Amino acid sequence: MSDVILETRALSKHFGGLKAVDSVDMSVREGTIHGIIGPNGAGKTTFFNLLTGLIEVTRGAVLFGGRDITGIPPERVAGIGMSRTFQNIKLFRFMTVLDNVKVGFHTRTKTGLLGAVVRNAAFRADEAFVTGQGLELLDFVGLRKQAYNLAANLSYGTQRRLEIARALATDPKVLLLDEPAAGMNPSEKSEVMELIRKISSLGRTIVVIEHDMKLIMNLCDVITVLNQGLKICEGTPAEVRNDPDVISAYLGHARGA
Amino acid sequence: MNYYLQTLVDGIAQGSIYALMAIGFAMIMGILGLVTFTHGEVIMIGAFAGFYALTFLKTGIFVALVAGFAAAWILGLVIELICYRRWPKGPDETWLITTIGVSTVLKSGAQIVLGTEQQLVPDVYTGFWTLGGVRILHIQVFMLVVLFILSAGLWLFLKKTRTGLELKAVSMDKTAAALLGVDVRRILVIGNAIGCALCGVSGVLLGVYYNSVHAVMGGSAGLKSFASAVLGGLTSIPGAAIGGILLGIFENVGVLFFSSGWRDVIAFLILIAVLLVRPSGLLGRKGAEKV
Amino acid sequence: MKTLVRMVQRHGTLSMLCAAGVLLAVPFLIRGNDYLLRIAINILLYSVLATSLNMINGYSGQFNIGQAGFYCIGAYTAAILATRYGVGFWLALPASGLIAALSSVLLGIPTARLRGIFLAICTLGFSEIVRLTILNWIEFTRGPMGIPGIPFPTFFGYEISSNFGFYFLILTIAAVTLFVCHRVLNSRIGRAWIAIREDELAAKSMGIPTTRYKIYNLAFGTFWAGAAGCFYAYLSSYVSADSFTLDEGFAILCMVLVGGPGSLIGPLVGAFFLVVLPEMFRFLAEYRLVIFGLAILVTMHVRPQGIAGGGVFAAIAPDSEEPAGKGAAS
Repeated sequence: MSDVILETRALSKHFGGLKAVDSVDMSVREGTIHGIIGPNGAGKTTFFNLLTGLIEVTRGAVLFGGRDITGIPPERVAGIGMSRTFQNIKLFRFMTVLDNVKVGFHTRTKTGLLGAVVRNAAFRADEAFVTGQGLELLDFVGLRKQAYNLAANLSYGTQRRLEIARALATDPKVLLLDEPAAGMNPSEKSEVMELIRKISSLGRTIVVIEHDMKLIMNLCDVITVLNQGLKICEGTPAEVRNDPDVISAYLGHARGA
Repeated sequence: MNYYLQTLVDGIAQGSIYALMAIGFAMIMGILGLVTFTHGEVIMIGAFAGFYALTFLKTGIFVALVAGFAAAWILGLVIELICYRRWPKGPDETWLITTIGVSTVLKSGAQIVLGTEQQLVPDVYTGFWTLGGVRILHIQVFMLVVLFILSAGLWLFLKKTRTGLELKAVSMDKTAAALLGVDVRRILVIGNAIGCALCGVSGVLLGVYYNSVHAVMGGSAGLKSFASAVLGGLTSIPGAAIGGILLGIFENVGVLFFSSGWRDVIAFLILIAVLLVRPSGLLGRKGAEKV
Repeated sequence: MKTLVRMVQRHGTLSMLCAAGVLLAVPFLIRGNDYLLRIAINILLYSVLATSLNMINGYSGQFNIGQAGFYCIGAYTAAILATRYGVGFWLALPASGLIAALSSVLLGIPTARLRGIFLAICTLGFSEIVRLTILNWIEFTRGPMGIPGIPFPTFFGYEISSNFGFYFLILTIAAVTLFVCHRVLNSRIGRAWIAIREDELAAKSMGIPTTRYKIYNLAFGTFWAGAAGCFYAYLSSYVSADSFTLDEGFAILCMVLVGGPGSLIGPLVGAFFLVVLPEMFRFLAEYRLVIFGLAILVTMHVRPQGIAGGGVFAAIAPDSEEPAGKGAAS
């Protein structure tokens, strides 16, 4: 049984009277694929935003590798080993595909203004690293041929893969994926599943929010179920599938294809 | 003591003009969510309309106010056509650029057409009352009355007319309003025109109070409406009014210490201070202007 | 037009050599004509100014309309260093840039979290405060009287006193500016700035400390405006705050918007047209700013990315080929 790498304790976010996330305890073990599901409005993306410091925690704690990172500023999250993709795809649209990935390497390189102007050895090493590794990552997600296209011109499915490549560039211990398969047809979805499995097989921990039940059940080792901000179940796919609370939460909601 | 009371009175009077400008500004930027850089120039055009009414058409103050209102209203329609019509959803940067363009054209154009000299505006009410050692000019009271009447009119419009209600709906959620059958474009046109018209009136008052209009008066006026509205809370009309009055008071207190060349800097410093400490202003909704 | 652009993109080095050749030959061709030389100098001077503003507005998403203030700080720094402390041109040049950049930090820190019109108004206010401070701080800047008597720059003993000489001086400055900007844009820092422009939240999530980087960006852009100010001081031998009004700032903004933000060549195009056209139509000189304002409006309605803009302002999407030469700046 591997160690817990990401943990929340009584994590809460209140917007005035609304409890978007209500005292959620979650443990993610290193190397696993951990799913987060729940009907619409359950607070899943808000939960991610709390983990990555994008919004302020009302109560509770987030622990990463045993360290309390609650309230960490979002720009420090990549540096500690956690990165994410977004529900609405937030690519750098008017940069090339490769440049998007290069930005992901920001925390792993050091060249500043002076180095950029003078183009010293350190700069050239950084650029070679960033270009080489960037192209490799694009290869890994299957986008090598589009390296010099403008990100804005990519198809929807390829944009999602680019976002994943960019997040991988930070060399994260934990990768948070927010609905990576949203809006995709079945063949694209299975490609994404493959990609996620590939990433996991390299030892990275993945937390994935998804609406597609079949995808989640087939992919994840552990699933946390949220409903209206509360955690109503956490366990293996089999446990979750048969949990009465989960079933009643989804009654009346369309099941994912 | 009297001296300070006098400063307070003068400040409130001056603030009433700022309040009117700020309400117009809050209407356009806070309520309708449009970005505008043309505010100062609209005030200037209104001021000149009033000036011409008073000096060349030799009308009374009321016609001058109407002239300012009308000129600014029309200008508002033109601005909407050029700056907003094509991009009803923004982004903000586009509106900023187009309104900068219009502002530049108006400011420079005014210098050519209306002359680069400061023009003398005749006095309208020259009398005053003395109340406990403090002098209150008739014109000051008049300005406050105008502010009150226009504010009341605006309040009635927003609360009691159908267009006013539609405007409130649009300000809350354009998409929802459109789905409910509101002609959002028409509302933007009208709302923008109202905001501009209020500025036009404030311009006339500015001209009358300071006995001068100047083609370049827009810059300072625009800054003050902006600062007042931000101080009071961009999304709140009563806030904007309060912000304006407060700015008038601060300015009058400020010139006791600083020379008049630095007058505008006071408004600017207040603006920065509010944006740094409490960007939503005194009465505004939180989170309207940050990332 | 598109084919010309593609040709230039494909043969980047050759195009640059051609451009360099033209720029070097021009002064010889118009040697006797001081008027034309002056125009050429102005084109290059405003190229530097427009480029300096483009680094900010076109590449980090910040909206700065107060560049005149930094131009002014640069000019006055040079004037004071030259007339009061006998500092030579070549030392004054980087010093002016540095002082302008440091002042921009004064503006950048409090306004770091502001966006759009709020930031724009603050930059405007800053520009005006600079002008007012200089006008009123008579002991230091001689106020409205300005600072006269700035000597000619010297280059290895040779005194640069003619328009011919000044042309080559500003050409060198412009070349250095573009060179450095090109290098910075195609580096980790440049990419970070563009990322901030594209999506600040996503940039943060990739580990970029956006607030700090926006301040760096402001300092970097204003450095070149300060350097341009130094050149201006030496060119005119006299500085006065009157030359650095908000109108000047608007003119520079116009050059960036019309020429095309987000690309290295856009501001050059903007500077060229907006210096040359008012000269060609001298009878319209009074209407200079009206025309600039109209140019902005026409640009937004007809071709919002400007004549030669890039990045988010580009409607033309390049094909999927190998990089054409200028990388992030094309």
